[in-house]
Amino acid sequence: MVAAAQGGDRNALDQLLRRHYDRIHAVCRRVAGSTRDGDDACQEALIKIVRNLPRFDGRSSFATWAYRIATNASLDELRKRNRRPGLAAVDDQATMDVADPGATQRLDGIGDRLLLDDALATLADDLRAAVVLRDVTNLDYSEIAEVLDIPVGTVKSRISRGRAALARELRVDAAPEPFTPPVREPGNRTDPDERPTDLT
Amino acid sequence: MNDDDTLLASAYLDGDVTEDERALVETDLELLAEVARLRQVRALLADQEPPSISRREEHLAAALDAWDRLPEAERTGAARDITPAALRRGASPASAAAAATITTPTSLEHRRRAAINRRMLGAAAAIVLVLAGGVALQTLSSSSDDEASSSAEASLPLEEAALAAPADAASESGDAATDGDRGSAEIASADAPAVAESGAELDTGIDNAAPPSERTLDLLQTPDDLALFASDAVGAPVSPDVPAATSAPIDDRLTPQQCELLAGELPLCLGADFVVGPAFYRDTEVVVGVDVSRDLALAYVGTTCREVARARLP
Repeated sequence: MVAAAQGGDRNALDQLLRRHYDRIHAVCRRVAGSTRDGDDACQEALIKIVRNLPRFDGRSSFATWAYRIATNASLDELRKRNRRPGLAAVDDQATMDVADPGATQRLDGIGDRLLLDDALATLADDLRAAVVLRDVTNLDYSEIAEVLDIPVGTVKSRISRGRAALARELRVDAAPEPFTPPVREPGNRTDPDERPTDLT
Repeated sequence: MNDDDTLLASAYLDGDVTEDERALVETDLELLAEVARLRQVRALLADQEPPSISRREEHLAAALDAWDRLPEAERTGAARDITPAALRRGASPASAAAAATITTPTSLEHRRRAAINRRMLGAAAAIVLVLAGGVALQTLSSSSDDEASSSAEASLPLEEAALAAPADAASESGDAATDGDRGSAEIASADAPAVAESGAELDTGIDNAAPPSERTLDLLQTPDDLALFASDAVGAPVSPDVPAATSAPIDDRLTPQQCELLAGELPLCLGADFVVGPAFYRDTEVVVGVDVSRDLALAYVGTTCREVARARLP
């Protein structure tokens, strides 16, 4: 498909982009840190991929090459955002105060994502990129080393430090217990220590 | 839990451990807890909200649009840099050579060196021009007849006088003049072609550009003008090394060689991917370039790369 797209087949290019779009978008979204910046970075990355496709030489996989472009586009977007005076701290998503630290694990959907965005925002760019490439795109260490142009040992270290920092930020302190639905006694008691309601 | 333990737990999670390390982790409850903690982080990261369909389609459409706007040769791979490997794959040497002339990249350093060389050449040409002008003026002033035309020519700019020199010299050499005059005329006629050539080269340097009134470069007044001027080049098969004369009008009076020199040596600044050509933006002579990735037309001073104006391409 890559070869066909390089040969000028527009349909093949369309298919190729669709196949990789979700991952590219995920990388941009996670590295850039906000929906808006992630979208901008994703758009930029796709255009760069298309324009540079004729020069893609196949030394790495297309995905690795595309993620590299996406990562760089996202980091560029971050730098642009940081250069914009007064807008650096503004995001399209509000921060959440978590009154109960233990509630983190129980939040789902949007809440989890907001917390994760905040946690990711506290990471240094290099750590964030390494963690995202590993845990979002499932690239292996050597591929990440290629994308970020750093040694494999550094990749390993950054991923470890990044994950640990995220765990601290997200207050993930212990492994969650496997979810088991509570066994309820017959009747309307919700707690074993609760006295049965007098139904008479 | 120290950093080494975390590193080991993280590597274990990724399956990047030796058998010994694996055994070590699996027998240590603290390490196992750390693995579980990092696993949760990984699960959270992987739980990515999918982008909306409309956003995805918008992104893909923009990317395909960028593809459509690529030059045909680049889109089909014909303009790719040719390598021995590519030749082995079956590219014909002729198409390889043709493609190479389009896409061979020129480094910024190379362009700077070329610009310095051009300036030195311009300075040398200017010296020759002044000398030849002096000789021509001396010849004309020593001639007793046709004083009016001599004074008229003396008032011409030096470049024009030099360009006019061959005809004058030829006409004068035909006159019955003194030996001294003939000698001067011969010097003038011998120098004149060289001066004419160097004068043409001089005219191509942006540093030595003539005032606006003497050039017919496009005059751009507004960012819209700039965008329109630059947009003519977008979609045309151009690259940084293709003379902009092929993609945008520069000056109808210039020869193709002059156009090539003029366009080929213009610097790329401010992230421009290729140069459209020179123009006047209000009162400033600028180089107009296009940043393809940002869809921007950029007008900047060629010598300093100072931005004068920018506009989004229509």
